[in-house]
Amino acid sequence: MKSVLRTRREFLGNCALASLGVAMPQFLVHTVDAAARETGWEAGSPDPLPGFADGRILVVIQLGGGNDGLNTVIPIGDDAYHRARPGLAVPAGSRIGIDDATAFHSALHPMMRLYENGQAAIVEGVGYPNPNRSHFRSMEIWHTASDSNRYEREGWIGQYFDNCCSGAPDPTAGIFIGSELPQAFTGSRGTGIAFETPENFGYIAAGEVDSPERFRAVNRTDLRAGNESLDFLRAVTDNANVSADRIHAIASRVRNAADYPRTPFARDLSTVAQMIAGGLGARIYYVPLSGFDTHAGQPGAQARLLGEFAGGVDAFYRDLEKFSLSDRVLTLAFSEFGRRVEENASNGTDHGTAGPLFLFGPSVRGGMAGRRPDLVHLDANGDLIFTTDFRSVYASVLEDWMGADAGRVLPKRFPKLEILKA
Amino acid sequence: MYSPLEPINPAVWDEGKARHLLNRAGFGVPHELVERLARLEPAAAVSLLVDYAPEADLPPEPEWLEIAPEMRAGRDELRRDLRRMRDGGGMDPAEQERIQQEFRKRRVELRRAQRENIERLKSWWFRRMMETPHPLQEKMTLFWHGHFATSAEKVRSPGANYDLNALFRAAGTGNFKLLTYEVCCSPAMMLNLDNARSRKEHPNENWARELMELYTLGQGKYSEEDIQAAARAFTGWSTDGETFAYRSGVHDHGEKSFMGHRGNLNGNDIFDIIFARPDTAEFIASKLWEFFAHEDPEPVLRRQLGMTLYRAGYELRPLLRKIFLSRAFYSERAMGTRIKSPVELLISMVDSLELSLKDDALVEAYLLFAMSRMGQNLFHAPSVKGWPGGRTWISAGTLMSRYNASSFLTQGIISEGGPELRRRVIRRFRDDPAFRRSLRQRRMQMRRGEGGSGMASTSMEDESTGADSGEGLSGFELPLKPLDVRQYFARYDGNSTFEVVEALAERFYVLPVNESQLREFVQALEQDAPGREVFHSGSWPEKSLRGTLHLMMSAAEFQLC
Repeated sequence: MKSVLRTRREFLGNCALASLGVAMPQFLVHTVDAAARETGWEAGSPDPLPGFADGRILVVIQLGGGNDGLNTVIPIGDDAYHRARPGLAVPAGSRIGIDDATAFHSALHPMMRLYENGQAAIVEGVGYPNPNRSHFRSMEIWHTASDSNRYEREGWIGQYFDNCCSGAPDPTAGIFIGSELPQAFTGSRGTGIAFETPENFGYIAAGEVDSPERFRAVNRTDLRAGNESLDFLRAVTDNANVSADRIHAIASRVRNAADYPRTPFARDLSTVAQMIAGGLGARIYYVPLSGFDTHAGQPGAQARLLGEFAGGVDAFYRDLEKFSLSDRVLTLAFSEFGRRVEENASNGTDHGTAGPLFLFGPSVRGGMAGRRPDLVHLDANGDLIFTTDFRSVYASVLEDWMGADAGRVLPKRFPKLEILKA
Repeated sequence: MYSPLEPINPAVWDEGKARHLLNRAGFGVPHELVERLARLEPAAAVSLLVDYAPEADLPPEPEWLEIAPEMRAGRDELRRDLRRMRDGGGMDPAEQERIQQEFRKRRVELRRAQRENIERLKSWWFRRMMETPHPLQEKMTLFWHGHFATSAEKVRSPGANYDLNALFRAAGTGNFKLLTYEVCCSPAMMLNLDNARSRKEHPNENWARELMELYTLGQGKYSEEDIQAAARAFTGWSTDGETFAYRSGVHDHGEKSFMGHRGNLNGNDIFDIIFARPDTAEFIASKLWEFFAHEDPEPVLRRQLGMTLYRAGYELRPLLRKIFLSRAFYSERAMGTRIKSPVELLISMVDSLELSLKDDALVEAYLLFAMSRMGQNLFHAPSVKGWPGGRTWISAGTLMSRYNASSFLTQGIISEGGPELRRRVIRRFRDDPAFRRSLRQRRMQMRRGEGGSGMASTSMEDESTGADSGEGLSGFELPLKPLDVRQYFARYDGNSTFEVVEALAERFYVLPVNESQLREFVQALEQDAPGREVFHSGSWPEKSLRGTLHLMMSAAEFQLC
């Protein structure tokens, strides 16, 4: 592995950046002219630097709280559904009919353009063996891709950056829109940056006394090296400054090309689209939307959230289409578990197990996928038995979309799904 | 070549080494203590830190700790009703629904109260770390907190979290075998690793695995069969929520084979077998070395450390004394190379600025928020592996958070925008007309897209609905600053600006800085006060004073101790 001390400034000479076809910020031009220098990244190496060689991007949307899959992708033809939910079954007026067996919650209607164009896939029954019904623990399982009886520290995205990407670590290769990087990003190379808004990220000066220029001057990497820890800190500072410059430049230069709904989630996706259009070069973006823990009063809450979700995703892809970048972006939306088959006495549902997972993008093989879980033959707790292990989805995304070896990320081999168009 | 654990030569003992010892064995460096330790012989200085009486000065349990028992009783009563409902039936559906809703409401209330108390506990402990008479006691509490890591996300009871913390404090420099045993039996650990529900029909392997992998032997020193046997041996070791409870009926009394020993083994036997192995001593002694001295000790050093602990029957003080007195502890590899953990960093800021946090709830709230942002949310270990420390603290984002955190203390600037912090700031200053004016101006700036992305900020909606989320507070300057900066700088009156900056560097850093860095600091200090030969705090531009402090704490050197 190359020394981590090679800074981002040094390897930005990577000419593949230009291949994304996006105009480069002026301040980077002089660095690229120095590209003749050896950068440590070999063109054509089997593990390309993230985001550069194939230009493909993954966006992960985390629907936090446990979305009720059965009222999202509704098994309308199944008597067991109506028997279990005399009060909570989605009425005909709130459904979008797909076929005799299936309807979607009507709040998903902003997503229907993508679905009808074959750019949305829904994998039903996604879960894992020996499911855990605690938010904290189940989310940890999805983040670390571990078996449910094992505890891992590293996240699957962190493992991807550590084990499947070579060259100097680029902190902006992974972006989380929020305040703290989630466990999915935990790895050994410190890849990943979290910010709520682009302005949030970076050194904040009060004024001219503690100016960004002075800040950089006191942390120059060519100062007499005190010790390895100090060298390391200065290298990371330098990387962070370069990243902050790029993020701020994109935020001030790039305007979204589509209209987004006025919701916080849509705003976050608009930031992602801005970064993509601006050529940040991040490989993976991660955006949370929480509130799905509908123990009570589910109909109103879930409708609002599904609407926020679908409205955001629709605007996001419209925006990317205007930049001609949509075919580069695959979006995966998951929830840490589905909910119980039976409704509870509070017009809601309690924590369950398997649920539907969404994939979006022009490259996606659109339509219904996976196998619908059986509503009658349930597990010992009366919950759905999963039919697709979520690690299979990760494996498919890692290998078929990102060209990585899933064996270097996941604890064992999982059968893949056909998620992409032929 | 010297033996690394050979004691340091008293002739080379000086203030720099005393300071290093205090930084590592404690949290911050009060200057009087450095001078005092420097005047002693090294062995006496180390003894001052290590040989405090463990039972003395233990803080009392906070009165606010326990959630009102009526809250819990109310919820439990409803839970019983629900169970009766489910088993017996025959209850009116409307009544059922009422009970379900009531139960849910009580549970939400209880959970909220528990979360609030855990937050208070974080505050309580942070203060203890800053104010303790025995720095090593708190440093070891922090070490065990990361070694035997649990999370309040899973262990919700503030009492259970407190009890474990108190155990680390009281027994943290005692006997490691005994400590591990007590931790095993603590409700917090029982719940965190699910041993509370482990029974012979279905032994839970969680505790058994982590006991060996994380707490005693380390990976690769046991087999999967050993884990299974140990899991069986620990069945029935449980808790009633408050204390240890042994459930003989679910304990597996059968024959087991564990690490070459065969018999009707129970948990006590597992402990004895594990601790009879010198590997256990080497594992924990090396981890302590990495925590206090430097990373990656060589195999020879690991063995020596292990032997020291093993021969002392797992008593920790002889090992600690040896570590703190050793030449290797004061080597170039150890001195000035440790990246401060978030809590150490923040305490060092408070100490360097001589801030007294007696009444400042806001400052405390900010510090705890910043600590979490930097990756150290106390009582909420991100995984069972705790916080590995060292370079894992540092990523582009967390490092920026570190540089920005000092901006709050020196300049009153809120650099990050977490919703909870924003809410507290708004709550605290909502009646201040100057604050409201500044906030309005700031929001108008953001709406106009100045310095922003041009997207309409949701603060517009918030203003119209009256709900205040504090959006747009990033970079916002508070009218009241935590630091009285003129008072702080007064001691440097009469010196040249260069001397002032040199003195601050001496105070802030354990490593020498470059000429070019010093020049930057001097230029910062002289900003808006050009040509002034002699420093005078009373008439110096305040922004230059504050900005210089922020700049100096934003040099990478400040991250090291």
